[in-house]
Amino acid sequence: MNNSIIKNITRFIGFTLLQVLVLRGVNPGGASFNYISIILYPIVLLLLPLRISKIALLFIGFFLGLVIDGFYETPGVHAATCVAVAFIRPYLLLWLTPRGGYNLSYELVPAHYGYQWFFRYAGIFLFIHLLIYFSLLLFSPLYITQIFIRTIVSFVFSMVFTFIYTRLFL
Amino acid sequence: MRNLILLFIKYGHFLLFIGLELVCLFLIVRYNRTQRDIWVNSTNIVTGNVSNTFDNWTNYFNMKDEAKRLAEENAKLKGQLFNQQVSSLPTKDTLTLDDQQYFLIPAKISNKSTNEPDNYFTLNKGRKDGIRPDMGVISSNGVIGIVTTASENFSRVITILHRQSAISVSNKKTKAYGTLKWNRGLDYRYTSVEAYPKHAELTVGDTIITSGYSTHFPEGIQVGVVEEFEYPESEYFYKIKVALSNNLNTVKYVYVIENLKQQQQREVEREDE
Repeated sequence: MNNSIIKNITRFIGFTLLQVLVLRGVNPGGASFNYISIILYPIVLLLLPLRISKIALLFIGFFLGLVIDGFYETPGVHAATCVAVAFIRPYLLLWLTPRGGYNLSYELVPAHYGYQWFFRYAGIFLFIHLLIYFSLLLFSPLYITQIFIRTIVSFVFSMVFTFIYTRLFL
Repeated sequence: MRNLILLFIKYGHFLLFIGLELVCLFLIVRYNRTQRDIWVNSTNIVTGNVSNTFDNWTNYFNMKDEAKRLAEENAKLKGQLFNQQVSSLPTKDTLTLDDQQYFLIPAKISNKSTNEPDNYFTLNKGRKDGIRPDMGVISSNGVIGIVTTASENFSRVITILHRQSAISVSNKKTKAYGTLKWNRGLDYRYTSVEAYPKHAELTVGDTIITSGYSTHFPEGIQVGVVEEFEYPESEYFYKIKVALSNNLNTVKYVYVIENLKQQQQREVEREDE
């Protein structure tokens, strides 16, 4: 139990720093295709323990978002996105219940539920996160095409890095 | 109370979600320049439309007052117009001692008849509003009649559709004049002009206007158009049928003309007799 809290706090700090210090400056598209953002910090929310209460989840999401926003200088955008995905997470998990059901003491990692399950979960989670994020960032239905382009290309890049992280650390 | 707590336990996270999202939305709109601009523009479109629609509705409800206000304004403007006509006459110095000769009072017809041999209107304004007997009554389309009696709040108008009404009219083109008399039976669309001299020219379609040779009406108010006429051998005058420009059956709002110099003119004319 203690171990799990420390792990999650470490992940929180680690991913926040990685996101705001490194990934924020990475722009694989260059100046001509300024649409790709690599967003990895939702993994913090993704891997929170299964038994965490919905209320606590929302607060953690809100706090994480605010911290990221502080560095991105977009007050509220990341926070709103994180709160939204934190709200969706329990329903998403319910929908993706594996055949054997969840074990409350297990972490939500590929080691317990398999890669296929994990990437479905992470994929859907991240896609929703990016879609909401870019919608709030561009903030107008006029930019609907740009919202989708950015979401899709950023999703591909972010998933690649998620995969690398999963192979290395989980 | 217990139910309320249960409700909160069950849906508390949803309420919290909504609350946090509202906080975030506030932050986004308050502190992000792009988003704020978009937000302000979009809400302006919505609120603009809403207030427009609301305005349309309230306008509809205010229409009565608005009509009244416009009628009053019209009365003022028409009054000015008549005064201008008077003051532009060459005999200006002798005719008008000060500028204002005609003053118009807007009124609404509160009772009327048009299908009798003698037709009267009742107006919703009376002595209190400055209406006195012998004032002329017109609508925006032409002559209506002359006030005969006025009570505190109402006044009675003897219309041009009355056998005893006689109004001095003239042909707009030739300036020859006659008297407007009602003897066309029961058709309120037509009346006739009598005492129009035979030596004057006349064609169908000529416009008949008030002559100004009375204290009731200023010159040039439209009365109607010559519909047809006879040239009787044994008489000195034409028999003219005039189609009224004013539909007295449907008219609702009228103006009462106050001639501020009526009294003076009368006195001068009486001295002569």
